[in-house]
Amino acid sequence: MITLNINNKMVNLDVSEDMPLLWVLRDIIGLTGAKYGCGTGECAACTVHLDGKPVRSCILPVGNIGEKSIITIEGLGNDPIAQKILDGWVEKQPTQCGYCQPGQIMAAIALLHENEKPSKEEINIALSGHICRCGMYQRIRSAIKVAIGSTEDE
Amino acid sequence: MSDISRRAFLTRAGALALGFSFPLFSGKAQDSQSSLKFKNSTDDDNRKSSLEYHNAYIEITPSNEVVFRIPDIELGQGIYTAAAMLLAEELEVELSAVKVRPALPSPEYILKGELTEITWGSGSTQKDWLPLQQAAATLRIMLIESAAQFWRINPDQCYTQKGQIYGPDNRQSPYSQFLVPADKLSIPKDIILKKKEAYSLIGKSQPRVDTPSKINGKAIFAADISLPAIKTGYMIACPVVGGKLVRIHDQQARQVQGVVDILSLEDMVCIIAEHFWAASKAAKLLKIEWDFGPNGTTSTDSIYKQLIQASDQKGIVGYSNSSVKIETALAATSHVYKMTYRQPMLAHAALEALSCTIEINDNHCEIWSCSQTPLRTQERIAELLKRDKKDIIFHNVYVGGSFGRRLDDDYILQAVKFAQKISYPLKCVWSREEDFLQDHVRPPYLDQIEVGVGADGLLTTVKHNLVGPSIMARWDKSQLTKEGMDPDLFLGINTIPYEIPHYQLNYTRCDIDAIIPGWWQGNGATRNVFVIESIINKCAVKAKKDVIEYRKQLKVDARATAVMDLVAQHAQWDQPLSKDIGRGFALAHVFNSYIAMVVEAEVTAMSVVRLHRVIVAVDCGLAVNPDQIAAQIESSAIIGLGSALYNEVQLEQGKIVQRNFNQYRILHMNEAPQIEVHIIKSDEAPSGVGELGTIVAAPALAHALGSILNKQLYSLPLNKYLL
Repeated sequence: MITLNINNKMVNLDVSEDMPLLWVLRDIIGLTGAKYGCGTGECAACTVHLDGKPVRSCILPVGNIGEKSIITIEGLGNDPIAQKILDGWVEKQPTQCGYCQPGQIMAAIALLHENEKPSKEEINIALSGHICRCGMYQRIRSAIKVAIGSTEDE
Repeated sequence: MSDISRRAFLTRAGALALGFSFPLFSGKAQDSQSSLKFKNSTDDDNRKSSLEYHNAYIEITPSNEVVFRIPDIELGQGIYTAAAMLLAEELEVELSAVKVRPALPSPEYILKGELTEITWGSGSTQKDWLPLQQAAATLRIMLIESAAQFWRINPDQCYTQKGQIYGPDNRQSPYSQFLVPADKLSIPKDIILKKKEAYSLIGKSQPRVDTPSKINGKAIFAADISLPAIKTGYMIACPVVGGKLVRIHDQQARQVQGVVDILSLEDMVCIIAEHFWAASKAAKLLKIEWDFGPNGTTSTDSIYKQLIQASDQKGIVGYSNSSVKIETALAATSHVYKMTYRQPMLAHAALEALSCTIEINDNHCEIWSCSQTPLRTQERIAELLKRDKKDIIFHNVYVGGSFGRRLDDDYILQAVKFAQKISYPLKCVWSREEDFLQDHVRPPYLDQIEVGVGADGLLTTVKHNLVGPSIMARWDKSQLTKEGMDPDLFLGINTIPYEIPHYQLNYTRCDIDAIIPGWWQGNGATRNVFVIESIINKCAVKAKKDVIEYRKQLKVDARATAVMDLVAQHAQWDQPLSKDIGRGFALAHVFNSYIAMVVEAEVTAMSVVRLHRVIVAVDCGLAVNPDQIAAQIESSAIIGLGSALYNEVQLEQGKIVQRNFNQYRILHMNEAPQIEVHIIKSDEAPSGVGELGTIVAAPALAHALGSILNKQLYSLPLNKYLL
């Protein structure tokens, strides 16, 4: 039996310790916002927060999580930084197929928690591991800039 | 399951709902400002009897929302939003009142034999443009008539605004107050669409209607469906096309906790488990013996050898614009250049791996997946299950990219074959590796070219010998010409924006048995425009002329001139760049649109390509949703640039080598160039957008890199020239 703190709720799970968090979220708990894209940490569509840090849930065994807090796209609650990011997303419209977006958004929120005013380079570093097959990178970066009130040109 | 509740599609909730079907208009788009007459089911007896002439279904609910069941698939191109805008504009409702839902495959919603049944070829806004506005305008007139009857006044005394009908003496009621069955009202014969000056939505950028659910994690994709007692199916197909299963050794795999069953077909295995993780653990323990068959030795090299050998054969004339024998025309030119272009196999690599959720019981079969050909998919499932089509309920849910892959529905049929063997619902998820292995790749091609130029260096003659597979021959043989030409293979050549007096395309079909050739972003135009634009850039360089000026001397038409001038202006084409940066250009006229692209790129001392800036001008007729047109161009440009630079699918011993993103490189944020999109103002009917950027990206980038490396680049991917 493993106990996880998911979206501020303690959840008891009868799963093996080597099961990656992604499949616990999707197939056991029914939180399907985090997506499966590669299974190897290459695409980051599965990104969630672990104690506020972005992690690839597809390669994170639940046995390694311990008491750390897991937040998924469904559990953003009233986090004002998350709201700013979502507002930026609405303004810049970087969604197309939408499949990578929860992962991108989770990475963007984690970045802003760590760094209130990231530069273009810092945004690139934080999000360059995320694949958007629709290629909406410029808009994703713009959305983050809107969230931080940056007027720097794209 | 929220908004895709299982039964919601089956019964139209609310007896007050006003059902409204409209006929698709045949022929070319008409002038939206003129009075339009159209035939409908009430005044044409031949059509009256046939439900097949009713397609889209628009419903006004008791809460005054407009629900539109759309036949087009939302692949990310933004058609849900564009369609909602067209409806809201003519129906006089607020955009937020329109709810777009995927249509179930059914003659009521999707018109067979017309374009509505397939979503492809950058076509969705083009085909919806007039019918949707006409349907909405018709419905609005009928609502006014219904209100006027109720109020016992003349319809002329009423007007509509924001979903309300207004009459004399401050009368005001929402549309929903006047809902009666459509057959109780006469359908107006003459409808007049809004003049464009009166548009409040069309032409003004609107946010995507699917953005909210796609950013809060609630958008539902096929693998997000949950049903009672559902299991996960992990799909393993024979990795070689045409291979067969010999036997499986599954004792160890079956012992993995959570594994429920292991099923097999003649060329596939499905591990069924409580969750994906258990299935994927079992997959590692499962020993499968395959008989790979005759394709088990095919490699990339052997494929190109086959193409080169086939190139000696005399092909068919697939396209020609001249009555002069091409050899005669070439002999009359001042100089002939010969070159061979080589275009590789490509994967779709959509971020969502293939997936399909399915439930079969005694009464019906219900499926959640994505097919760009929903009617055909429904028919094929019905045939497989020997059931009536109406019992096959196919939900087209959101899809994490397609790029042409979901024009085939092989994966859905595979899922059905396994699901019919079991009594519980099955969620089939392809692993990333299986998604690559089972891809229907863009097939490889050789283009052998002889071009003739006049004494002035201007291109007059092109003999284009094309060798490669035909996708259409596999996909829909009836589309081939009687000579056996696949019309996709001259896409982009038949609408060339230049005056080239003699252009002949000879086609030698060369099927590659070890691959299943599939549609890929931009289809034939992506391939042909790379060749044509590379030829023109080469000829311009040889003639020592500016590539844009050279194109103008080939008498491009006015719309092509306009996009070239606009892109040149924004790219400051007349200003030299620093000498480390190469600048490339390409132009295309395809899907009735024009696009010109300038790419600025650099090759670093470490032989790494840096994409700096991409400037695009596009004329796609009237821009329905300008911001999303820009987004589509940005998107397709990134896909085209990344693919041109890095991507090739290779085969070894009959198997696709590239099986994850570490082997198939997709551009990342830090590699993506700045992209500017400039849209020409136009009153022409909207034309295709979705794939335009991909179509011009490869030739523009090849030109830019060629100018740095000081040579012509004839093969894709381009990074081969840097290694």
